[in-house]
Order: sequence, then C-alpha cells, then structure tokens
Amino acid sequence: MQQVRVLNRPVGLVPGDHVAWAFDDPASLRSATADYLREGVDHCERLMFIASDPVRGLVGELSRTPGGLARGQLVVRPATDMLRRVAAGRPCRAADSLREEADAAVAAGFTGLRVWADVTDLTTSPFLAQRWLDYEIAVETVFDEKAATGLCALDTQRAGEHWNRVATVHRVQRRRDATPRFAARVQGNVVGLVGEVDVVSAGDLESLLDDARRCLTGPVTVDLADLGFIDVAGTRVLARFHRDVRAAGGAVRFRHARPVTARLLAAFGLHGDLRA
Amino acid sequence: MSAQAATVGGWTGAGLAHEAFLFDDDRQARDRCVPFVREGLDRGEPIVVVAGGRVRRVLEEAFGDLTAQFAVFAEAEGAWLGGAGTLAAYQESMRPLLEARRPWRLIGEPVWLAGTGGAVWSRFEAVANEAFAGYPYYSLCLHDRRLLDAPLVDAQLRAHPTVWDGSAPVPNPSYVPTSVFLRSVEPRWEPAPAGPDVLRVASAWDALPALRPMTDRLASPRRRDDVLLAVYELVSNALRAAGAAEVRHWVSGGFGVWEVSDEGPGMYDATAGYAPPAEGLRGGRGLWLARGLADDATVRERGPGTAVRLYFRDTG
Repeated sequence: MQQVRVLNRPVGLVPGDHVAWAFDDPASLRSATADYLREGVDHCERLMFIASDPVRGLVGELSRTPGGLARGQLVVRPATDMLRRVAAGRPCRAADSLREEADAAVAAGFTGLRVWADVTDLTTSPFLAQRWLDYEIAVETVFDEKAATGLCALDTQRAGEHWNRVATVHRVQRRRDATPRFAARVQGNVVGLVGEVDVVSAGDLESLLDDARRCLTGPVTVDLADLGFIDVAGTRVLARFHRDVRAAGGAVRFRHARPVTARLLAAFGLHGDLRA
Repeated sequence: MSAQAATVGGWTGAGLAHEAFLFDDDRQARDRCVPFVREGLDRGEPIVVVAGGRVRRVLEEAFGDLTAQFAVFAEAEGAWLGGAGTLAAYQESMRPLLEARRPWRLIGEPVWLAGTGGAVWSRFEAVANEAFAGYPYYSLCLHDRRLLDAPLVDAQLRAHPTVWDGSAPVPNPSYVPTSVFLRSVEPRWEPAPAGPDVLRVASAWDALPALRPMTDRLASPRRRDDVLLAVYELVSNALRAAGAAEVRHWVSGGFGVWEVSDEGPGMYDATAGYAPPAEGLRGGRGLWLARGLADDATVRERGPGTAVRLYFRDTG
C-alpha cells in the first residue's frame, strides 16, 4: 500500500516519478529547478525544459557542471507550445507525443527523458485548467510505461485553490499547507486511489472524480488497493460518484477494498458492486 | 367490538404495539398466533411472519395455502445479520408497508438470541421501541423457552412493553425504558483510570496524522484498522460539535477502551448509534459505524460535554 510521496527537494527522483511542485517565491523555485535538472544530468537523462521565462542563467550553470551538457541533452520549449497542445483538448494525442519524446531520448543514447514545466499559466482560466487536468491524467500513464520523469511547477500564489486539483493527480508532491494526502491514477477506466482520504480531503476527492469522469469511456473500476484510509465523508463521495455514474447510464465497481473499507461501502448501500 | 380485536387488546393501528410472548409447547404458540393471524386477515391487515421451523409448521397446519397470501412468510434461521445489520434489514423490509399507510401485524421469533453474539439483539428490541414508535404495526415477538435460556428471556422481557396474560395483552411489569435497558447491559461508566494515554486534537487537518501513531501503538494489529476508523469518526464528530477532542486509551478487563470526549453542547442519547442512519447519502453514520466496528460502546449519560467509549476485545 502506498502513501503519496512528499518532497522538500526535487531530488531522489527516478523514471516513473511525476511530481507536482508548489512554489511561492522565485528564488526557491530557481534552486529547486537547478537541483532537479542537475540530477537529470547526473543520470544522463535528456532534459526538457518548458517555460515562458527560462530561469535566467540556469542554462549557463548547467553547462558549467562537471562534464557539461552533452549535445542534445537540453531541449528548451516555449510554454506557448504546451499551452496550445493542452488547449486543443486532445489529451491522448499529447500523451502519445510525450511517449515519442521519451523514446527519442533513449534512441539518442540517453537513459530517459526528464521534463520540467511551469504549469501555472494553465490553471488561471477554468477552461484551460480543465483541459490541463485531462492532459495530466492522460500523461500519468506515460510515466509508468516509459523512462520519463516529470515535474510540474506551480506558483501557488497565482494558482490558489487549483493546487489541490493538480496535486491529486500526482503521486509525488511538494506539499503546501492543506494539500490533500491522496492522489489518483487513471488508466483506461480504472481509477486507482493512493494515500488517505479524510474529512478535510473529501471535497478534493469529489473534484478529482469529477475530473476523471471526463476521461472515462466505459464501466468504471475504482481500485482501492493503495488507499490506506478512508472515512465516512470520503466514502460518501464514492457513493455519490457511484450514484451519479449510474444515473448517467454507466457502471461503477469497487475492488481491492480492505475489510474496514468494504464495511464502510456497505454502510452506503454499496454491497453487490464490491469485487475482490 | 372487543371480541373483534381480542388478540391485540386496545391496539388501534395508530402506532407500535410490542409484545413478548413466551411459550413452552406448540399448542401455546398455536393458541396465540392462529387467532392473531386470522383476525388480521379478516381486517385486511398484512401479515408478516419471520419465525423458526416449529412456529412456521404450526401456521402452515392452520392456514395451509393461505400462508401464500401473507406479506412475508420467512425463516428466522437465515435472517441474522448481527444486531445492527438485522435491525437495518428489518427497518428496510418495513418500508413498503409504511408506504401503504395501513396497519400490519408481525409475528417475529428471534431464534438468533441463542446463537453466538445473539444476546445483543435485546438492545435492538429496546431501541425499536423508540425508533419504530410511530410505525403502525403489532409486533408479536415469540420466545420458545425450550430453546432460550432464562437470562435471554429475562432480557427480552425488559425490552418489551407488553405481555400476554392468558387472554389479553397487558402492560409488562418487567419493562424498563430503552435508555435504562441499554445502560444496564453496556459496560458501566467508571471514572477513567489515572494517567491513561491522552491525545488532544484541535483541528480536522491534524486528526488523522495524530491518531494513527496512537492507534498503531496501542491497538492490536488485527483490530487496528477498525480502531482507527471508529475513533477517527468520533473525533470528527467532536471537532464538529466543539472544535476540539480528547482521546484516551486504557486497558480494562481484557478490553482496549478508547474514550473520545469534548466540551461541546453535549449528547447523552443512549440509543445513539444503534438505530440505522437516516435514508440516503446525507445523515450521520459516524457513531453507528463506530458501534458496529467496536465490540461494545457506551455514551456517558450526563455532561458537561460529550464522552463516548468504545471497547475492543483482545485489547484492540
């Protein structure tokens, strides 16, 4: 059973890690970014840096690390590229494109791809924010399949409450106050919950399930194997999700619930839909 | 008029009548049940029977194919779902009858009293007196003294307001009010021992991270998940009511005792957590769940503030 991993520094990261990084001052962001990218150099990964305002001097600094940068090791993309891709609303295509980039990095002789992106601008409008979450949900699976490490940096001053929604689709987080202690992975029509859901995070679970619903195309399975704790408030959210999906003609099953969680689900009338 | 309603005395169908009937042979069961059912059929009152094999045979002999017209004719042997589960199923099964807005008659034989853990059912009979007070049915609860030990029967008598005196239902002198009954069978409220483990929680955000190490340390591995959830729900309730909660733990008589208390307005309802939660997704379930997860629970009957104790066997 997993917990959501919480970091103070973005190091110790390996392919498969997909981090949501909250920052509220440029200096701390700069040093965190340097740490993250330098680790990528150490790991012989290709670095992909996506930002509208590349942290000044960072490229120069990286070039000065022992051994420097290999040819083609640092790729800088303007954030407008990512903005356009997200706004187009084709999350699966965007995920495919990330897969291709990861493959290309390995083909070029690197151990994998390490991506850094400042996503704050994607959360400032509700339209974009929704599409961004669809993108994040689709992209999460790429980090499982490919040699890819990703970090999404978010200026919490500007993102505000969107932080919670972004955080819950990342299994590794740099926590700010009141960040939910759970996350979710959507793979096909399976929603896997990781961590703990209690009364303070039940609302975030509801938001996350609302976001996930947009990506689901058939009978849904909610996998509870990695859910270490859920309370009445959280289970009520699951029951509402079940009811709403059913009302829209869909189906929801819960699987791998621990005995105590199965009991809770039963308390909300969710008996027959449990599956070991 | 009195001859017409002979089997139910003064019951007019306006609310619940709840009788405990004791018998030692099939003839006594037949003499009580057959006229009761016949009168109900004559008056167009739905008949619900959940009883053991002997009683079902008695009714089948008397009514034959007519039993197919009973609203329910079911085996008590398969109906036990634990105390809370059985009460919830019982309440759920009465919903269509309630919606029909007509009085009905129930013959119930709680054969499960004799089974493991079945004695707890008397508490739910006591709770039913309050929870179902407005339901328009006559509940004839049968007790076969050949199958039930005297202490089980005595407890049942204390939970039923009415008994049969040979020719009519009469008030039961052994009956005690619900809260009195519950407190008489739950663990007694002794003062907490000195120096128990105490945790103070003052925010919902801190509750789970603070509780988990305490339950990890003090609860048995087998019950840990149940203890954490049950205590967490009580703490959640306390935070909502009072903004802060105290959690205490000690071991007493082979039980791990967990007490959650607060200094809020105070809740002293002995039946809290026994009756099934309200319909639908809204409505509290915390205390009901906590009672179900623990082996026993009790609510302190006076203030200031609220205190609830949960008991987990095997020092869980």
